[in-house]
Amino acid sequence: MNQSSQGENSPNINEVGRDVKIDSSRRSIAVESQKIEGSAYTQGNTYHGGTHHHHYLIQAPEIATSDRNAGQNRGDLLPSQSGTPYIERPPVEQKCCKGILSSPALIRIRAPKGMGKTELLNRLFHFAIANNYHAVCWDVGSLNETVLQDIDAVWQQLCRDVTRALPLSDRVAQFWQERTDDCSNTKCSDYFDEYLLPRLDRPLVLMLDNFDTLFPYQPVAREAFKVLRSWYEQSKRKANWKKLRLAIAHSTNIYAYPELQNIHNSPFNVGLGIDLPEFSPEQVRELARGCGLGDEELTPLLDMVGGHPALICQAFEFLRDRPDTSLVEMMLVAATPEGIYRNHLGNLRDCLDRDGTLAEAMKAAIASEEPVKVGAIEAFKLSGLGLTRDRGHAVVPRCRLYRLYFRECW
Amino acid sequence: MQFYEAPNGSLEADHPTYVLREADDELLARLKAGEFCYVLNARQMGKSSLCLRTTSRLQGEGVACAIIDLSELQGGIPSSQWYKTLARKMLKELQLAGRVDWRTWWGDRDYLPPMERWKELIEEVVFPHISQNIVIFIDEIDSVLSQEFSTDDLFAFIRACYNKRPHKPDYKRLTFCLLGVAAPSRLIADKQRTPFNIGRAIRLTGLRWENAIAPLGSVLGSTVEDAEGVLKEILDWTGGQPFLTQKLVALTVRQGDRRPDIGGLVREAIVENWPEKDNPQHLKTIEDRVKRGEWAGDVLALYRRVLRGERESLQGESLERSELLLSGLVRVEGKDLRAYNRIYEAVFNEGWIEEMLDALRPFSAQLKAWEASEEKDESRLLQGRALSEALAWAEGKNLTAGDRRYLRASQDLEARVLREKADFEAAEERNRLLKEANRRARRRIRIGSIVLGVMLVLAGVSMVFATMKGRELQALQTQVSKSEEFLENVKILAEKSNLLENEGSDFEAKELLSQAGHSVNLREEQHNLKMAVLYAGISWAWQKQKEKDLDEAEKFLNKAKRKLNAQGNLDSESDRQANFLYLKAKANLEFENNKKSEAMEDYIEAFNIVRVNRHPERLEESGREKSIPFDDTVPIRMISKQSIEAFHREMIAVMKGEDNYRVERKAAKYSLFYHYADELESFLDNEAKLQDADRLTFKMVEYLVQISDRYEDATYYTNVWLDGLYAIDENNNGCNFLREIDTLWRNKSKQYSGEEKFGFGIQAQLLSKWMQKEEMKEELADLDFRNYNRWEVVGYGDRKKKFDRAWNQYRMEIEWIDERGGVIVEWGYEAGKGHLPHFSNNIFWPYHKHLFSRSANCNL
Repeated sequence: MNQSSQGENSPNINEVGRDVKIDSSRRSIAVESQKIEGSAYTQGNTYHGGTHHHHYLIQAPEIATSDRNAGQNRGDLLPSQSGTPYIERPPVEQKCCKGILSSPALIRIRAPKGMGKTELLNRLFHFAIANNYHAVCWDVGSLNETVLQDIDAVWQQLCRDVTRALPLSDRVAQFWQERTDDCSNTKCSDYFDEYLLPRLDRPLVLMLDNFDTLFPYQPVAREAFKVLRSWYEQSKRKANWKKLRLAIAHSTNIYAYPELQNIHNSPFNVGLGIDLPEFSPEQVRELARGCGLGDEELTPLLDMVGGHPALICQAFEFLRDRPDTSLVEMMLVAATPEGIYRNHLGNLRDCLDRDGTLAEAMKAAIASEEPVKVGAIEAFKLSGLGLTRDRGHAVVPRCRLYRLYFRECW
Repeated sequence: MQFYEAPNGSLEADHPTYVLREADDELLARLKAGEFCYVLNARQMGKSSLCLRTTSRLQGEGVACAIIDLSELQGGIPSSQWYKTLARKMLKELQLAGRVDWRTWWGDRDYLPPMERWKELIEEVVFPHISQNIVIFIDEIDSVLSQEFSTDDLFAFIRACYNKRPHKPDYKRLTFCLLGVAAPSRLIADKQRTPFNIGRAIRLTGLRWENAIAPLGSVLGSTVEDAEGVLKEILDWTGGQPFLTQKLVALTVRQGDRRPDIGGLVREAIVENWPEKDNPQHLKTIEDRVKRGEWAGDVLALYRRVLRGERESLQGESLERSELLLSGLVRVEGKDLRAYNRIYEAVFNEGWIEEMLDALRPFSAQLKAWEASEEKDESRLLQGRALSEALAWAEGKNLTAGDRRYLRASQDLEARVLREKADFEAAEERNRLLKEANRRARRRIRIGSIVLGVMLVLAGVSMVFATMKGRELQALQTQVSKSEEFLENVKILAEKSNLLENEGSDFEAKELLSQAGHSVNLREEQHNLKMAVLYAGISWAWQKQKEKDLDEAEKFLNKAKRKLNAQGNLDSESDRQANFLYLKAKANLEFENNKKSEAMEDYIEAFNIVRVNRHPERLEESGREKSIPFDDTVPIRMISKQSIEAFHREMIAVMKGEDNYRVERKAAKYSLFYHYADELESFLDNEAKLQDADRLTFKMVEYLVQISDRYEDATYYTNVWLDGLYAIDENNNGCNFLREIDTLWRNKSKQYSGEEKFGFGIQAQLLSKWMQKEEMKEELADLDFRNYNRWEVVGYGDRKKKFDRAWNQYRMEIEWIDERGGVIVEWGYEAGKGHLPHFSNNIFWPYHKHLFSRSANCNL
């Protein structure tokens, strides 16, 4: 999905990114980031149930757990900027925050789309700022195709963006030019080691959102993995690197890409892995109360979408804005092209239509009431999209919504 | 609920839950003593943690340490950049990066091959700036296996650092430690350049309760009542495997039970549906390692035997065993292999093995189809090659009943088809099969198919009897009983060869099979000779196998003797070769039995059969013009080139220091040289083998050093080697030998390209011509290349630089290196003048110029 929508956004990403003016006199990251967030809201494009492709590369991550219709008013509810309150899913938040406080730190947040990864990064961002750390969130999903195919370009972009966000003066071009003979990984690591990190008096939390965007670009991904892993390893014994704390959010399981499976030089076998769970019924109820819907009977919703955060939030926002609609009515048409989830479902369907074997696997899953054994790679891809959940080597559709919708449309 | 997280990846040096092991102290002590150490073990056994911990302890004692993790290096970069990045990392790690202007430093030396630059880096930068001892850790050493270029130089460099110690005391301060997941022999194949045989393997055991109770007990103590007992139980499940132990401790704490049910927890949180819960990945890594690779079937079979408690010999080298150990699934316990722990036993159980084998079984599709036809569809059965491959695959795998029925049905069908086809040409068929079997056995396919082939043929032969009468039958029976005698002994020999191979004596094993193979080529009426060859071979095997039986060896030797006697006067080439094999076995046996003088006489008699003697000033007339394996006039060549080489080397070794045999020993030295020369010629005749020719040429030069009187024991110590090289022409025949090599290159290049372009002589001429050039003349005018001496060389300072530049320019001219110092090799007669021999595979490559000096001195 990332890739598909990337095309339309990518051309202007860099353009706008370059327009960000960083006033060197303003040292506070928090102020800086809020500024950017403010402008990001009005420009944020609509994307149903997924992560936004930020127009600004460096910024506090936006929330992903709600549907946004352009022009809808929201924004002043920091730390959560959606219209819905942020529901904590203990112990996830606590673990993450604790995780970045000491070195070595590498947090991997893995969850399908729409589970609230970006929202969690956002929390982490504010937590870091509150603790007087530097924090930079880099959205890998916003890189364009040309950059993604060239590890050198990826590293240059990262170094440049992090430098600007801190803000320090940009030495990337000079640094690269002086080291034409070195390989790209060395240049990037040296830039951090020799330029960025020595200039920081406090730890830097570097968050990489939508990291799975890299996975299809295997040669690039492999190198990126190595470098992140080596940073992590070095932070175990070198003062300089101890300042760097990493947090990575990704949806697709790395196993969906067998070529990337040498996990011994990747960050995916170390650090703190966080699987974001769905909302529990209790949390859904809490959220309902927070949206002023305390009296609703929630069973039809839970029955239809389970604890899927994005879908739940979307339903609540819809209800809040249209008090005359009933939840039951809404759920009756939910799995049809007229329902509130039409965009979300349409996107998923596009994904399946593009990949024949994936569609076959999904068909098998919805046809059976029992878990169905499908190819391992398909299983990982389906659960990465959030369409199914794993049961050992078998899969079941994630919620009744998918079962109903896909049964109808195929 | 507690938030205790198991540490993933390597533990920092001061991590509170680090558990000490014997390896900690051993590694520390050995590295402090300057020994080269290596820790080659399965994944997630705590190698990197050990490395971090040891580094920290060494640093505490004032030792400078560098950790270089090879897996971090960028993929797909050329070797020059790889070595450069490596050197740069080392400098940074040793905090010397600021001491030199790195880019110019490395760039200035681009005429040197990478490891030479390393050497200079160490000698010119590292040693002067660091006065303490230095330990360089190289982690994830197995990453070299995925490089497209050979990384042998790196290993050879490490070895060279050790070899330099006697001459350069600074090197005593420098030590290496390698860590990774691989068998040493896979990292570098070349036995002479490998550092592993001078290093110390550090064994990494599991965590022990006594050491673990302090760090892990306190973690457990936060939730459980009886931390000591619980830890015991945890270790009982994990066998002390570090990753699983830490994980299980964390799970126990997280569960928060005061009296936890560890068994239940293991089942629930690790074993059941393990692929889902294997995060961070551990079990899947093991599965991947076991199932990938061409030996997966054998590894699985071995693992199944281990699981079933069958005893496995730990003798000799075995690929399966080393793979299985490296996967981490099993460990050596006393004299047995055991599953590493109960968790593995539960996860990787019989069902799992079955599933893995299912995926590997080469005939699973046909098997399924056959079973679907209620085992009736014969077209689904395996035949011929597919069958023997399937049988070879199935060998020792404890297959299911279904598999066995299927294979037996296939075999029955094949036997039936063979019987139907059987006719009077069965004897020929037998030979063909044997040769085929021999060919396959060389390719390390198990012995099962050979024996099977033999059996099938015998079955065919006996069918033929039924259709014959009277005299015909009698004649055939004689022939068959002869054949049976022959086949029976082929079988013994084949078994012996298999045994030797399993014991790691690959060379002997191949040799035996090749003897059997060649003996088949002997004509039918030379039956006695055939049998003599086989018996000599079997006798040889009895002497060489681990469990020697000299009586058996003697018995077979006598049988061979009787057969040779029956053959008569032994004057044909085949007779003489058979006699050689007999004498070789006899001499060896006598030596084993301490009958030294008899042994010597037999060595000499055997030597006289294979001796090559074409020295221009030959003292004696005896000996052949060409070595048997390369002599086209010899109709049947039963002795391989390796065998001749081994025999010579053995004889030279045995007669060392024996005054009575000085002449013979020298003759053997010379004879072996000419044998090499014949081999070189055969390589040079095949353009595809030029690289081999190049290697052999180097080996020959080295051999000349080794046989010189002064440097007989010279090994790979550079200095000694060079001294030896300069001593070549001190030996009476040194120049003659060098000329022999040179002439071969020269003549063959002329023959195949129309121009004399290869050889030392040509190279030396080109170089001296170059040195006469105007811009160099002045500086190098008084440099007589003949007197180029490794001590005086060309002087120092500017003059040396000038010469090095000249040398560099020259190498570009003959297309050895490109402008950036990258090595170019072109293996073909199309290559430029002076391009070969190249020696680029060799660490002595930089010393090639010394060889020119000798060439000039010998007037090549």
